[in-house]
Amino acid sequence: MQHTYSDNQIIDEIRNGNRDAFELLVKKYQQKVFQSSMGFLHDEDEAADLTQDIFIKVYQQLDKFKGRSSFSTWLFRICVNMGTNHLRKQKLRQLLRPEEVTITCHSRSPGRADEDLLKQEQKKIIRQALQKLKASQRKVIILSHYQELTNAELAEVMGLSLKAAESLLFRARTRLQDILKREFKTTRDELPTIQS
Amino acid sequence: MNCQQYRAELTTVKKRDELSDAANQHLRSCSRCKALSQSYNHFLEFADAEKSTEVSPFIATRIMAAIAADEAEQISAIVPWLRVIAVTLTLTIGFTFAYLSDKRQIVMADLLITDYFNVERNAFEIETAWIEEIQPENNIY
Repeated sequence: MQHTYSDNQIIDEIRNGNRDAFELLVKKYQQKVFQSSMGFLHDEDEAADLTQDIFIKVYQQLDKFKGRSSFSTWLFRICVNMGTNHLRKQKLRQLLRPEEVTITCHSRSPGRADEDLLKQEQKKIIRQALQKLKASQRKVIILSHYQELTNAELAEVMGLSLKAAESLLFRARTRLQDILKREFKTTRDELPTIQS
Repeated sequence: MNCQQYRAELTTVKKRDELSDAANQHLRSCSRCKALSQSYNHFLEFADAEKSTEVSPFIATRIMAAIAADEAEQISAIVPWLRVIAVTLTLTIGFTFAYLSDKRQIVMADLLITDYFNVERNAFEIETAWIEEIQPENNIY
């Protein structure tokens, strides 16, 4: 029978010098961390790289975890902060080398069927809509829709009261809906041009 | 249910099937809310698809290898500094011993000069005393 260890027991093991115990934490949370990375980056390879960076950071900073919150709360806080930082760096790179982005966007489209093209366009609109949200709004959307956290858990990760977290999530969803409605309407109007 | 109430409900749910019957009924009769709902549903489907993407089963091995490599790199970064510290320490100890033994000789040389200029003793006695003091085994007298 396999014995299951609590997060704090595993952390104690790691602090006692057993580095291999960290693998148990990685295996337990890798999917969750990867999901939030996908929410920020929308690309499997990049999300896997970010997942790796997050776990390395967690390992390096483990001494700073005092146990005031649960380990998962602390981990998800690192996830959203690193995701936001990664996006910021990505935006900066795009500003410095815009030609690379243009090439990437166009190289994905040619030769695809109309339906695929439409789906690609929808995904692009959603990605752009998410990017138009404020950093805090994007964080709560990812925590709620990708990590599937409850509002109470979300409040703890964000360091907010439950009311403030609910309000932030409500505003984030409203803004996202407004952007999506506007962008999809524009695309529907332009669709004949795309398809021709 | 009016549009405002529908919007409020849509904004609080995580999934489309969480909407109440009243909201669904309103949706069937309102084209404005239908457009809003459709565009939002695209996002919910998109998020569901991304969320269900499975992480590579080798990610844990990859992470552990990266951590091991990172630690090895940290150790290899310390090694040159350890070498510098070891060399500095050796040189410091060497120079300290050299200085201390040299200091003993300086004290003796000072004594010798004082004695040499001491008019009450002649040079022969001074040299004899020095030979006896410094190299007693070479004393031929």
